[in-house]
Amino acid sequence: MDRELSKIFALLARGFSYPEEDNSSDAFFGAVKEVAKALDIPCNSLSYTEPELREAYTLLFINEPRGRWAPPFSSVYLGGEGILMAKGQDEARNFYLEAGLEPAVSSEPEDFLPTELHFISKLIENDKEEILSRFLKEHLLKWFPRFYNRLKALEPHPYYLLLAEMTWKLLNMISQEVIDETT
Amino acid sequence: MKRRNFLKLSASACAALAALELGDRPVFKAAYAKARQAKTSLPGSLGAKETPSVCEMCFWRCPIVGKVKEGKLVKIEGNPKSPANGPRVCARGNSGVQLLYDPDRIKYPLKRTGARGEGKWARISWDEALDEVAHNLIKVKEKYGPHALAYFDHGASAEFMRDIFKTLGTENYTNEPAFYQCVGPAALAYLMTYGYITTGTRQYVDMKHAKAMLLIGTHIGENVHVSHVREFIEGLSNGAKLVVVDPRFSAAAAKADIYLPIRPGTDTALLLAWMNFIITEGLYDKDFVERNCSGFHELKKAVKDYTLNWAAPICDLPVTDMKRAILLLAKNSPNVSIHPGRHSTWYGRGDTSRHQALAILAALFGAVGVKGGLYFPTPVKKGHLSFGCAEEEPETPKKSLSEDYYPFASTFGSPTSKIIQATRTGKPYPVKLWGINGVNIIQTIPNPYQTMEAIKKLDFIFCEEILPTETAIWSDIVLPGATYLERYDTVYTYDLLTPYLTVRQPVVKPMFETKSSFWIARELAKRAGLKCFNYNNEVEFIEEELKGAGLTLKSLNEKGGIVTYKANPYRDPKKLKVATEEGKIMLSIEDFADEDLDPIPKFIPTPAPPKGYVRLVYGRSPVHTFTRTMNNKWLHNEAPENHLWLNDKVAKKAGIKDGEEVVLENQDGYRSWPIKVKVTPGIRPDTAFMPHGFGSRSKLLSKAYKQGASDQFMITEYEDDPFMGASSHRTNFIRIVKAGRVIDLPELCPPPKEIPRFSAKKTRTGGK
Amino acid sequence: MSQLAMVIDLSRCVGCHACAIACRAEWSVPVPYQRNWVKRMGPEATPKGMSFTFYPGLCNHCDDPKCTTVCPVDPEERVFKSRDGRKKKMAVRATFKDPFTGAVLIDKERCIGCGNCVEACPYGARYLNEELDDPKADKCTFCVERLAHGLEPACVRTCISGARIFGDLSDKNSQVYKLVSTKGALRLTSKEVNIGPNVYYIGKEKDLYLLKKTYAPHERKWENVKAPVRRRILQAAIKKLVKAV
Repeated sequence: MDRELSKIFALLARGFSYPEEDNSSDAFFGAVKEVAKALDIPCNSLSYTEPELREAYTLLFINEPRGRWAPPFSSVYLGGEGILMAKGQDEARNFYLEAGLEPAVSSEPEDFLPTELHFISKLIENDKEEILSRFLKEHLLKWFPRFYNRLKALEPHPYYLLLAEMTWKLLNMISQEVIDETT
Repeated sequence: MKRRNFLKLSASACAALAALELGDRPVFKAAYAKARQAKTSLPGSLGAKETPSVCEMCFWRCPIVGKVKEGKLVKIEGNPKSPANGPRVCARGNSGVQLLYDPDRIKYPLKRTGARGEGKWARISWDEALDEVAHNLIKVKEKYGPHALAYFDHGASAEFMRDIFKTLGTENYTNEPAFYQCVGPAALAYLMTYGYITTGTRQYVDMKHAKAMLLIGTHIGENVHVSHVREFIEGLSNGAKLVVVDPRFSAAAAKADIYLPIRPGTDTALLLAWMNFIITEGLYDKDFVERNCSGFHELKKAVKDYTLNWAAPICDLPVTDMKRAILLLAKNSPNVSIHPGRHSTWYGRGDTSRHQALAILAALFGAVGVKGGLYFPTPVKKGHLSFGCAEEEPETPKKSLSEDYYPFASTFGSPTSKIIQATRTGKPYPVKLWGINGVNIIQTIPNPYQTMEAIKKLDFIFCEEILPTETAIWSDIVLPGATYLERYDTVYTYDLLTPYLTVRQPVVKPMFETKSSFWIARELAKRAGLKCFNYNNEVEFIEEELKGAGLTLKSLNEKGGIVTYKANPYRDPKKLKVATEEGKIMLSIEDFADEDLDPIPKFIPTPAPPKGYVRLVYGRSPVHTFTRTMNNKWLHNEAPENHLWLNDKVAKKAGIKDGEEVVLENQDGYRSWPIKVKVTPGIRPDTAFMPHGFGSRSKLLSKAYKQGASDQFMITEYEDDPFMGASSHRTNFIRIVKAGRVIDLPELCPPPKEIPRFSAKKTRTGGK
Repeated sequence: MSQLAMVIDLSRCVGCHACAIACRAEWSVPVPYQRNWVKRMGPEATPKGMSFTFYPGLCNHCDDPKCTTVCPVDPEERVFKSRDGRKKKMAVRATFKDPFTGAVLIDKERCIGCGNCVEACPYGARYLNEELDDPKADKCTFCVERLAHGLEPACVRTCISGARIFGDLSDKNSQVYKLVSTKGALRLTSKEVNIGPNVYYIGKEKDLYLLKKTYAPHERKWENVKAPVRRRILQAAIKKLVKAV
């Protein structure tokens, strides 16, 4: 179970990453569909092209006219200032260090959503429930809902809405497990 | 989580997950640092690691230190070892942190997916982006010839890429808005009078030691260049008297001993009358003029009819006040700062002449090369760089934009207005590709509607940008430039009263996939098949430059990142020699006469506002730099929107209240976005003022969008200065629209007969 | 006893706002709150001529800081130490005036975030930082933390035209003392509000006139902090609970 759950979070982390070959393949979409089914989330056939997703991804998560995007960085939601590399970044970094890890890509802020989701994957894989519990309660669950609401309000590309919905549901499920048990 | 199977995965799901190969790059690696458990760091910015660098929030380039704590930039201060500013930086300098971490930053190369101006794009790789730009550079050059390529450049980031355009052979390799939209006319006037660029990037005027100063426009304090403001204030604190000539009661005017609220467009009349006055009254420095100036007799003859009485109704100033002012300056000469000005693209015709008049006035007072006057740069030695390309000037085409329209344009490049015209009309030859670097062309060049029209005709347009400005949303490819805090640039020298040498160094690593300007230019050159930028990285060429100064990067940093030199600003008036052909200060410029232009300034009136309108003028906000900083949260908080200054008597008659939100309509019928009115006695009844840079039309700038109104979009009518082709920016007029109703503004200062009215039907040299 | 004070020279000030931002950067003061601000006045006619000037403002570290009197936290003994090693024991609430420096400070550990002091200040110098999980009052501290390291306040350090002069009023050789006693510096007081602010303004008469006219406070705000102390403490405690849930 844990192995699959860990892989699911790694899947979501890739889903929220810039579309490339590995996360725009039929196999990838197939896996997403299966997980959505398991979560009881309705989803149509996912037959998106890479160019289509790249445009959607750029406009949602990188730069967008009218400021109508959902920045996937915790600092934007947690710091109050709305800039990068603020409080959220410090928090995320500290959690990674606690688990003996740091992000391999150093040019991105460390509180990037895919990085944080992948972190969860690692924590599940390595059975670090205590850190996971605090990571969720004190950090990710504080900003993901705001990110999710912001995304929903944009009436975004259905694929990313689906991924967000799946992530939200899963985060709630595991937080119930993990937070209840360790507090 | 082993405890419960709360997620039911089907067999196919498990299989699908198991089979998945999720990219082969690791997301995490083992860490060696320890988590910060307790609050061990010192309060505030104390205990930070300091890296010396150079600011680029504006173009004064104050030496700074970036203070980094745990990999994050927490504060920027002036470099305490800098003799120009010490530990001080202005509001913009302090706010660089917010630029660095602005979530709206351009992070990756982008390729347009929708229409130009729509703002739809997708992230692409650097390889793809650079290949496409290079491919188009070559393609356009092959199809239309090298001159079809045009480069719009400004600031440090633009320097390297300029060499690419030059090497590709276009005459349009530079058209710095710094000249054609700003300092051009003044730079030219002083270059021809004194043989050096007394006003360009820097202004060599010794306010610190002045006994009196004259500012025409030049709203020091609202325009902030740190060491310049410091010297201005030091001078005043040491007892210098101040004369300010400005249709608006600026922050500088508020400190003046004599304030002259001049009718806009008549400054040259005032200057000519003053010249005549001091000549006829014998208040000029006869010895200095005889020894060091050429053309005095021609000057005397040319100005003899310009009396103060003649000027008074034109300038709308009392003779007594004009007299008081000139006597004050004369009394304190030669130690008077006749400020040469900077941004001079005001009215088109007459701009270069106005600054020539200022230059002449300083010479008549002998206020050159002496304490308090104009002074000479102290060259700071550094190694000469050769990037292996762009050594020669491109061949000029049969009909040249740079040489054949304005006689002195080629000193500075190709006039922007001509490039735009060629792009729109294909005459004299087609311009089909624009490269833009460090300038927001839509908010910088007059008549943005025309600019956008021109862009639609291009085969290809790309930019190097930091923020998603209007320029970015109109580009086909956007290249993400690193901010000044994330890169090296060439060695900077400062040759004013406190000479120094310093270098811009990265304070933090570039974020996302932003790259330094040098890297971008080098990669682009490679793909365009050019043998250019024969250095592997910036440090290599910096070391070469530093070697020429007897330094290395290491030794420079050991000294705190900056080295100072002794200034040599003054000259013995008995032994003065300037770099003009004759070696003398030119009071009459034959080179101008050779081109059928006035060798000595004449008063050429700029048309007065049509009835019902007032002239729109603009200026700086001390917390903003053009449109660059509008999205910066800290700066935006200090000044989120601009207000329109409207004279209190005019407002009362027109029924407009302080703080009311209105829309502006210009003489061509274009309307602005809503703007609040500031009703004030501090502006002439025939003029309205607004700070520049607001009213961003780029919706990508989440904070800046629609905040206040854009002056640029009201500048649809412009005239070119006949000397070098700079575009006028203050030849537009507005009236008010309130709740949909057009309000004609009452005319309280009717123009005299010498000043014609603006007429829309007249043919002009510029564009509509 | 020392009294730290600041003199702001409006004839030097150009209204560049560097001070407001340097303070924000130094102390991570989130927008829209302010420890240090610059307000712009004019152009406006005054009896002494047309004025266009600025109000760089901050906490005045008043002689009689009324803000400290409305703090509901029970007084506790605290030992204060001077720079030269002298000690003084005083019972203080969560906000108090340091007996050795004259700086008015907030003890963030004891502050309950009730907002009384914020309401009480007639200059609006305090704010309640509600960005924090556990809101606290905050304001200018005259950078005492920096002074302890031999550095000047952040706003003084960055002022590009040298308009801020900072020092100890009890030092008769200091520049602040000289400026305050000889140049007839202005304190932003009125008939109604006269609590001894230790930020003084000097400069041209017309500018001081406009500043006083526009920004000298008249409301005795500390008298209007009406909410009973008990209710405030309860409100703050409930807010804390709600946030934790």
